[in-house]
Amino acid sequence: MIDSAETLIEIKDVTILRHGLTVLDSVSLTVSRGEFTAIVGPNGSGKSTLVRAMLGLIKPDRGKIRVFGVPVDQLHEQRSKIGYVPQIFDIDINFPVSVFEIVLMGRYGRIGVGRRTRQDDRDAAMAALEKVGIGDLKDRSLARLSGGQRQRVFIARALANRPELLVLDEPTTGVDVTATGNLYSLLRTLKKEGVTIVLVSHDIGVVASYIDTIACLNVSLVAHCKPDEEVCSNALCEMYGSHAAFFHHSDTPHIVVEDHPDA
Amino acid sequence: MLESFAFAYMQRATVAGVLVGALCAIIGVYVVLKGLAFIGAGIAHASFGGVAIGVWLGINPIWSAIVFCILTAWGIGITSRSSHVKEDTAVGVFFASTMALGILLIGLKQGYQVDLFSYLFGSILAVTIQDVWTTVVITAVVLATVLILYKDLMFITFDSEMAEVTGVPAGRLYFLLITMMALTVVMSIKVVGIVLVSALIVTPAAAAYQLTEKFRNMMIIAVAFGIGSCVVGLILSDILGIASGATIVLLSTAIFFLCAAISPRRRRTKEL
Ligand SMILES: Nc1ncnc2c1ncn2[C@@H]1O[C@H](COP(=O)(O)OP(=O)(O)OP(=O)(O)O)[C@@H](O)[C@H]1O
Ligand SMILES: [Mg+2]
Repeated sequence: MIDSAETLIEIKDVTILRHGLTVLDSVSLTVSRGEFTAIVGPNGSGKSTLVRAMLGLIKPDRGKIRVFGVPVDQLHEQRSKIGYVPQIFDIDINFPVSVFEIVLMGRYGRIGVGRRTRQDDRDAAMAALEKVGIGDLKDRSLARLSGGQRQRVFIARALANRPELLVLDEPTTGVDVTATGNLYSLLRTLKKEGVTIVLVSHDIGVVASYIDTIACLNVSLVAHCKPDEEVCSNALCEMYGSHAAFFHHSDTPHIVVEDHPDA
Repeated sequence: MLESFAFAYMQRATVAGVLVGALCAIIGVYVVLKGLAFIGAGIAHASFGGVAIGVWLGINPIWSAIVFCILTAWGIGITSRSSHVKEDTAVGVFFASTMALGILLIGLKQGYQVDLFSYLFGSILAVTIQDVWTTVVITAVVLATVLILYKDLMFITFDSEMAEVTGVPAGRLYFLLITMMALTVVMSIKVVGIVLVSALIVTPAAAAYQLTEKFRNMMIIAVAFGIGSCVVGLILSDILGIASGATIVLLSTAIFFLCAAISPRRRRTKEL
């Protein structure tokens, strides 16, 4: 099934060093068009690094990355088909812009340098805000939002682009249960619409029923498997050390650690 | 005071003051929001080296300063982006060395100490008609660039990484921004001087930042403060017979503290 589909992301033998430490060790991973891939792994296992390399924000020390069939450092117009929700926002929450303007920025790459925003751009930004349920906050500044609301602004910005490839790095951090549920059902809808999704998350269990593959990362790629495969559970055990495993419960497997069966 | 305006030098000084006030304020908005103040100070110090080269070669120091400041700005940009050197470290390395070069070259050209003072602390009354025209052209170019690239420059200032991911050429826009910064610094030398120029860039924008949560308003208010400080400072210094550069900078500082005192941002921070 995967072989027949168009390859959207091709990561080949990627090694990344940081301060002399190997952060990623010859990782190879392919993502096909329309596929929903989850990346899991303990803190510091290189998930964010892999995602950033995938987007061309970090240059690998070895190996090749192609996105949309093009080496990632040569991506140009195709970049406007990418939506990204970073894990850490290195931004100034007091920056004088409204939530709506931030979401509109998601369209700027598509609009092009030196061109003005048009009505359809503003409509798309508004629609994205409505999708994550914060349409009413559009005129606020970031400083006047809670952490979870801010996170939703950045999800909306990634969606404003109507991306073909959506990359989310722990997008539910600080987001409440309802909004998390809404985000996941949104991802499900997007997947049905053919959007390729790469999700870094610790609570993949929640979405496991419509995840196609899980990439278990711990500096090297421990396993790349379907959620219901046994290798996947084994890989999780290996990574999280103890008794972590998928806990199949009414079609929604969770990662659990035996000591805390309710977690 | 009004008779002073009849003098051609005062007219030139006023025009230069209005242009430089606007230019510094516009660039200042990006400097304040992107945290580039230290680069600004670095470029300003480098302009001393640029002026010295001009003096040494016997050409108009403005031209040598423009070339030299742009090269220094790019040097800082390239060093801090491509290696593991932090931006402020890169600035530190560049600004000491370019200043040292300036001192060395000026030393070789004896008897130049008098003019040097006017470059260091500004002498708006020595603004020539050629300076005014240069400033007009540069201001027009910067203004046009900022208007055309308004949304893109705002994006890279707010979130350069996301700009890059979605296909906005963040790197090239950053270099364009620091190039405009270098031009602004050089245009301001005669008005406020090398030592004070970074204050004129930062202060009006920082004052405007206190008053609004809208980017465009911040730009407009900063420009008003910048022009106001320059023109009023100029007139005051002429009446009182005091240094123009220092008067302008102190005026904008007073505006800043006033804005900070009445700032809605400050009230909000207190609530939190
Ligand atoms: N900017 C950086 N400079 C140097 N080292 C870094 C940098 N960012 C990450 N690292 C190192 O790279 C390793 C992997 O970090 P990364 O952020 O990719 O992990 P992660 O899997 O995303 O972790 P988390 O679950 O905490 O988000 C870490 O050991 C970290 O020390
Ligand atoms: Mg991470």
